[in-house]
Amino acid sequence: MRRLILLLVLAFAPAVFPLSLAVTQTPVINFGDLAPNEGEWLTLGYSYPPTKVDCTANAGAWQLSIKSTGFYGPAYMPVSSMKFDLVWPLIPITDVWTNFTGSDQLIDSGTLAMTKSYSFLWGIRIPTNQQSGSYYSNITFTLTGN
Amino acid sequence: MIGRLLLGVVLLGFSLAASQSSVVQVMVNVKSIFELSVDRSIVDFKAMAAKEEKNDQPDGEGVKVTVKTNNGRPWFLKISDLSELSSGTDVIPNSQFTWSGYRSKTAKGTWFGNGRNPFSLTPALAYSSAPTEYNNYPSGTDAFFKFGVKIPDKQNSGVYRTVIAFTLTE
Repeated sequence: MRRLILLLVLAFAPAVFPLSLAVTQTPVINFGDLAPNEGEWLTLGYSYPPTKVDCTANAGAWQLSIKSTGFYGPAYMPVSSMKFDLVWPLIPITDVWTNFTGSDQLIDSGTLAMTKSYSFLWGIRIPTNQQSGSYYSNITFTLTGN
Repeated sequence: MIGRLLLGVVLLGFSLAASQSSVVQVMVNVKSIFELSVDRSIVDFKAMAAKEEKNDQPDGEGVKVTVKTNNGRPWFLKISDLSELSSGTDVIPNSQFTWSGYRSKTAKGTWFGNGRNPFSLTPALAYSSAPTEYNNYPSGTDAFFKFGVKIPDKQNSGVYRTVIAFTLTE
């Protein structure tokens, strides 16, 4: 009986995948007041510092993804109105803006243990015929390992 | 028995996937647009004699009034004059001063003008929006107005003026 208990503990130990994900510096992305067809790019050194995402994966394959499910507000606003720019750790700083799609979008992946920091800038372009009012959305970062 | 139990536990252990998520909130306020514009500032009937009547002024399509809004609510266009046509103390009563018009071909709302309508100092409903026009930005909705006046028999000579007001409400 004692031998059986010991074997069960050893079997579970490798299956636990240690991950950590922390988002700092930007608890709320506030684009402020914008008119239809107006754009706002929250760039480094202006309205906000970039949103920093710190990730750690201690073993095995991992992937970091980003997702926005869309806007809540008085009328429909396409999630693709909002976009992101990954500015770190890519060097030199890129100026490649990616529209949100409403699905998980892969940011990075690997197969080895890692500790990385990523920095994101945010942009939005209000559709030309967008109804006035306050709109809200969530951006979810997900670090997955298997 | 012990061997079979152990195999089951190992398979369970490898099938687990770990996941960590973090959420950032986003907010933006889309500005309200509620605009009323008129394509000209003067309607001139030129010189007229007593008893003379002129209608459907100005020529052409008339005065174009454009409404643009993104508020998503019903809106109403009204018309009035701020005083009767007057020259000093002389007055041409509003019963002799009329407005008429029509909505543009693309407008879907209701035109309330009924032929030639006498002006009033109280704003009168000219057009109400259709649901598809509650948010008509950026193209907007156009309505066209024309005006008429009949000079009374014994009207004193003079330059008679008034101000026509278009009022947009929602």
